[in-house]
Amino acid sequence: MSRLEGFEGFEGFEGFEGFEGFEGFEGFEGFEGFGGRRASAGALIAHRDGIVGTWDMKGVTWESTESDVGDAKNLGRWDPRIRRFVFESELLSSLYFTADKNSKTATLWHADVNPASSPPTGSWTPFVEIVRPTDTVLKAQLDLLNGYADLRIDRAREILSQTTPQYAFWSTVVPLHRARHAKTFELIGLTLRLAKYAEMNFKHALCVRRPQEYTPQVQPMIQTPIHGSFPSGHATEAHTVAFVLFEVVRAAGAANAAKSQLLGLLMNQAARIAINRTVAGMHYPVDSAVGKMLGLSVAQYLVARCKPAGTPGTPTKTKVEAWKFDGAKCAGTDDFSGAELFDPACNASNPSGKRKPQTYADTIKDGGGNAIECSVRGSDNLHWLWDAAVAEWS
Amino acid sequence: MATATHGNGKTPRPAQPLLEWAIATKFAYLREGEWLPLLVEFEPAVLPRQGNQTPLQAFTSLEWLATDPRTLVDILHVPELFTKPTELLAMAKNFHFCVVFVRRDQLEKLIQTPEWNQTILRAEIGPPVDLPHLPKPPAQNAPAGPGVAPTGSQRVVIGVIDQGIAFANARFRNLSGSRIAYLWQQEFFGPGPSMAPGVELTAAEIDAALLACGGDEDHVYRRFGGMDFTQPGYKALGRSSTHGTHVLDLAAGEAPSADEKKYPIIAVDMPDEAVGDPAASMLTIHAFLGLVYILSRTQLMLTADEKLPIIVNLSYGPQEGPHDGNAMLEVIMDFFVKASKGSRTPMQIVLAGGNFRQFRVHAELKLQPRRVRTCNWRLQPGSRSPSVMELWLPHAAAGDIAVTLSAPKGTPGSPALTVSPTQTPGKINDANGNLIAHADYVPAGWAGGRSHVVLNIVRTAADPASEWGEAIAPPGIWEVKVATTAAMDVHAWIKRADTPRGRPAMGRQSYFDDPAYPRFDTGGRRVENDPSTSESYVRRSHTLSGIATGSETIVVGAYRQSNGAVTAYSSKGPHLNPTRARNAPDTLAPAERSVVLHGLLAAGSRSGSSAAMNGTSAAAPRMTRWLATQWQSTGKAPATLPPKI
Repeated sequence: MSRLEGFEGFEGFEGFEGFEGFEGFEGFEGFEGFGGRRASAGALIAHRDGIVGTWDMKGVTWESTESDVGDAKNLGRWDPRIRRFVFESELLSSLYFTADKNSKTATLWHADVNPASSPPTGSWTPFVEIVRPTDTVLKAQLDLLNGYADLRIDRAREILSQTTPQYAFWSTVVPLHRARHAKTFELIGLTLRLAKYAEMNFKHALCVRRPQEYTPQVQPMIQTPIHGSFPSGHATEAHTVAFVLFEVVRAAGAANAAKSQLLGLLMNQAARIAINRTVAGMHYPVDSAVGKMLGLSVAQYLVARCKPAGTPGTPTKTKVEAWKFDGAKCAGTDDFSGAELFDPACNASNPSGKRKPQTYADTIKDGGGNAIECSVRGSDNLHWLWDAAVAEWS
Repeated sequence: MATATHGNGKTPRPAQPLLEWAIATKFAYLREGEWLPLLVEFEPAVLPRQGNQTPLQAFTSLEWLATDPRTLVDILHVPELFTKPTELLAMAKNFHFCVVFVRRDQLEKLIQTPEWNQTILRAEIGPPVDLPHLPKPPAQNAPAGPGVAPTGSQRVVIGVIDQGIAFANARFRNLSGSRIAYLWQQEFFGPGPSMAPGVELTAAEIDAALLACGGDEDHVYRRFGGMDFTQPGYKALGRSSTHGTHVLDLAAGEAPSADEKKYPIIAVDMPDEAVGDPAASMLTIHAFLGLVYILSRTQLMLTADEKLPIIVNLSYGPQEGPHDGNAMLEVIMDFFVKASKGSRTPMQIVLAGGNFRQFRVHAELKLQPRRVRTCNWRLQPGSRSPSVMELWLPHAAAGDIAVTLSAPKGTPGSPALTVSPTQTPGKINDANGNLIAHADYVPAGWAGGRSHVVLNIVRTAADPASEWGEAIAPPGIWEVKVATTAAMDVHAWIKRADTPRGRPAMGRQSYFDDPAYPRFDTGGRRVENDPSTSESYVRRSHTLSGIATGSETIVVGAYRQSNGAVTAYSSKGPHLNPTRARNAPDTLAPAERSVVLHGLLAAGSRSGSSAAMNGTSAAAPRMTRWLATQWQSTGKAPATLPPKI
């Protein structure tokens, strides 16, 4: 069978970063890079014996006190694989998941944590709520999978190429190159992992069976991954990356027409990647719809967190919409075409497009019927990465 | 009232073998649907006429059926396209063809009535539908759209009858809007609740849809039900490239920046049932209605004093048929071209010649009296579509024919059937009594007709989607033994039964398997033309499309651009039509770029995409385009056709 098969289980390991799990190799790139060879410990011991001379400390060239504790600038000293632990823990520190079996709802909460207080204090608001659709809806959605199966031959090449994160495809719309955009790639990697933390928790909590579990007639054209169906990981990740990428490159300041076209194309691309999973027989269309909603929420959250922290007295906070997807309001015939949930037109009042409600998705409302907004603080650590990525595009 | 004398001269009997086969197989090969569309040719002389009624008006009044008119509504429906008085009907004073819808459960009874047998000369069947719905004749002055407004220059309508036409593609727009004046989506009943049956769109509606969907073509097609994934089956507009879009682009496509205004388009999009499974589909009815539609909509577009010629392209064709210009659709097409000459909307029709030369689906039997000739008809295993062969006697044949069809050697019981003028129909049942083969002798009953024999064999593999799964015919060589009482040439053609590209596997083409047929030369190269030394009954000659032998239509073959060579697949004449002086194809057009670069590049379904497609389907629209430019610059038909364009 093809090489690709072995990668199915590696979904969490995006492309080159794929070897993250092998911690023992952390040091590998730190050595002489591509053509280098490691010197043996024995050689280094003998070499020191030969040149060190009597111990007589005269002073050091660099001192620790040159760096401030907690300074984001220090991030530049570390390997990207070390930095990711800092970034991820910072992102996850203000997120919390709960699930309620009676209402069949899983909720992602956001905490506005004041880092200046000791101990840290914060207040929780709901950020993303997802209600599981009923079996009746899911079974009716199977008709759509049968209808989409007609496109399998047409989409086969894309589906096989898109099993792993779609760097090749994103790179056709936005001219990404590893040598030129190292920090952008680092940011995309972070984006994908944050999306995965979000989607995997929802997939676990909502525990929706895959289409092929309902009927043996689905017969997906590639192996169905071994996690829940709803939301779709591909839909979540593709939409998160699309929005984040747009925000990184749009800081270069183009005209609205050009921005709208770019954002529209990125969204069309994400939609096609998502729909291809339905064509392949692994997702219901509603999985793609909720994935898009979740992806946009994760993206907006990440963009907000990547702003600078401001000062303890005047922290930078960005209002991010809180959204709810009510699977109980889905109809069995609800298809996902890519036109749902978002309008990519950019203008003065909506410089990054605008999210829009559907029958099954809307902003979360408080008791008075007003939309809840999460107040998301910036982070100097994350801003360090964001700034470096944006600089690659100027 | 004259008495009909068709049939064998004694009791009149319509030529309707495929109707009878459908009834015998309990419609197992047809999809669900309460109404059956029939294309009928009727005998004008026997109809009771009132005043100045044309034959068509007399026929559609249904007075000839001795049944209470109130119950006729339950049995028979005639589309308004044929009953409302229009300029079309005025032109068609002697037209004796019509499409009627008959309730499926009433068909057998209807065709047993003496009225049917006396009035109907021929009948062909189309895919069943739930509602006999067709677009009504349009209101006068229907809004057209800025892209198709008259410009003061000579305009020529390009009419394309095809399948899977991506009408929102930018290649069919100019700077003012869509160039498609009218589009008829012929899917008789919509695939889902979102699409009304038989949707008709005008240029203005296409423009409005593109605007409402922000220019996103996917959303335009979803809006009209062309991409309704709640329904199973082939969704042409969901594909990256389609036959219809490719053909329309070759015939009429231009970049919007060219701002083309002289060639408005009228498009007819046939449903998948017409072309998707050639063995079971019958495109005759859809193509005929498409012609009527194109003509009637062109007449709507006429401005005062304008002459608006129409070039129609039909890039489809069957393998079977008499090949003498007398197939029903051939007579109809010739009629349209002749009757419209000298009118304000003269029509020319361009046809693909066919891609069948190498398919081994034509046999020529030069018969001597009482000398039996045997043909090997090889049925492939795994064919989920039936196999059909037609054997045609010559005009005014001097003797009778007997055809014996035997199941492959080793079939238990060695079943066989024989048909002749006195012994018809013939049947073969399997061990459980299910029909697996059926044969009909059809006497020459209509003007210019020839007698023929039709052999039908059921599928050789079960179709899991079929409810009637029991009757399977054994694959292998079925012997067809032919004997005649006088010397004559009999031509046999096997009906198309392959699976077109992109469709789920259905049919596999059966063919004549003669060891003497030269396929490769001594150097191992494929033989492209019958060598003079070939003694095989399987011939590459006479392989033209069964609707491409009329006298008024223009038939196009295919050649390769890199070396000018006719492609190996391009069907060849001769034809058997005494009124068509010239051989077919009339002309050749490119269909391949080179030996390794297959096909011609033209539009994929979505704007900005391209696709390669070959075949005489691609050659024909090149000719359509050329003809349109000739009419545009000279105002009339070219005196001669170039042998190659």
